[in-house]
Amino acid sequence: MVRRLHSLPGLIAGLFIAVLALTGAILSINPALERAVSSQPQMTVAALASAVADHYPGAERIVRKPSGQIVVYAFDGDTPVADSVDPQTGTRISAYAPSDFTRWITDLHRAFLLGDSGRAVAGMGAVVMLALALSGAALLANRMGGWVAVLGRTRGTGRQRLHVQAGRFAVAGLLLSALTGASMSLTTFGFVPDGMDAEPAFPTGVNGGPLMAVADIPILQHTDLSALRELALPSATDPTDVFTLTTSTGMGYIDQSTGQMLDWLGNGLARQIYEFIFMLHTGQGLWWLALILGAGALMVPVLAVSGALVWWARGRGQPRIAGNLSAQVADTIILVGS
Amino acid sequence: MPRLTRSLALAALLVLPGLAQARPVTFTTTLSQYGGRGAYLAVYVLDAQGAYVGTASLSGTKSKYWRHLSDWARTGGSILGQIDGVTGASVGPGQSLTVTVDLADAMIDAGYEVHIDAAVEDFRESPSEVVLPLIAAGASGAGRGFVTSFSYDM
Repeated sequence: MVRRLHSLPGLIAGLFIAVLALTGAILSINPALERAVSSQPQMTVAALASAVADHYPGAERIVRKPSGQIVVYAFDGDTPVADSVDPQTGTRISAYAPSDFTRWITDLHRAFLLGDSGRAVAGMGAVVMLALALSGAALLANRMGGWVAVLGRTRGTGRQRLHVQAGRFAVAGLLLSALTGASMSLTTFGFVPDGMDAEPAFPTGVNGGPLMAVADIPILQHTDLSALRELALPSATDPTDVFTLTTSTGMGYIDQSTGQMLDWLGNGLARQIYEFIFMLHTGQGLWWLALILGAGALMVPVLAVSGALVWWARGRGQPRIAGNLSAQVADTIILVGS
Repeated sequence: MPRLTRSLALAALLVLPGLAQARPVTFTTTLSQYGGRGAYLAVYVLDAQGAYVGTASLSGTKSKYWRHLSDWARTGGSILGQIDGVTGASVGPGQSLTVTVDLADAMIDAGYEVHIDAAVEDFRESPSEVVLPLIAAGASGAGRGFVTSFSYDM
């Protein structure tokens, strides 16, 4: 019964899941690559904002990617620019442009390039993957003689051993990827709240007086760079505008004249859970986990092909008896022992 | 709420100031080949004091991304719960969006402004990418990256 639950969905959805897994494996390299080229200095947001302000007078937004990469969005006259910068000096490292290849792979991974209908299929793919991983783990334990023996020597034909070994290597990662992927899909379609809508109301009581130097703003002096998500800078022409600070714990507005926090909203439970699941799935901010999950995902095509071969061989291996019937409707049942 | 009712509610809202004569105004937005995914767009009207009046069109169906249309959200488009003009899906690079809404005559040539905010995943947020005065002669302008042309006529 469990075997049928394992082989039928695997055969039907194998191709889709292989696409999900291979694209996921490609994406899994990114967090480590980005991490490798980003410095992780111990510094405050005030120091960063001050360094950036020196080089980008028209800066409007400073974003810290989960890898630690700092991106500054600014205007050079009327031309919008986006640059990756060195956090300590505020100097330009290179132009920041999202990679077309990564975006294409991401779209293939989450939606088969087909928008919301593709997203639904990808979500169902995650659910099938979850069922395959769970039933596979049960079959594995059964085959190996219980959970304690699960790491023991594998037996059987070459393709069976390949399937067992690849599955044993990948099952934990695939369970995590499938579970988090399915949950993100539920969030996308609004079945589970992600709390991302909530934000503090824009303050009306802005001082509007002379501007405080960004390096002197107390809350920015007390916010570590590693906690930063984004700092939106006030418009130079609008004295009632504010700093908008988003950190890993919440979001708030800072008066650009007094430097006081005007309105702060901490992340709710739904958002914390969503962000945690997002981090587990994408590995953004957890590059080593991404590599582990990617290695597991690489096993999926191996599992799909070896699984199909095992299934095919088992079908061929059944004796074919003319006029055979199922046990419930048979007149005579012949038991054969050897 | 069905989309039809929604657009009727919107028309009513934009006519309200003055409760008098209204005329159809057609907004046309053309996007550049910026190379990313579909853009979220908000076309909305502010009065002479910069206060939010109403939304002519909102493109992009996932509400959690609406806050990235930051001027629109900040002036009250989303905060006041007046999501009244969802016109449809996000608009892809190179595509055009044309919407027609009834605007009260009292809003024409009276210091009102029409703004368009744009935001694209992985790219920048572009609040008030184009701002045009609401005048009977119509107006047009270009933006700073996403919008190659934004115009209206009545």
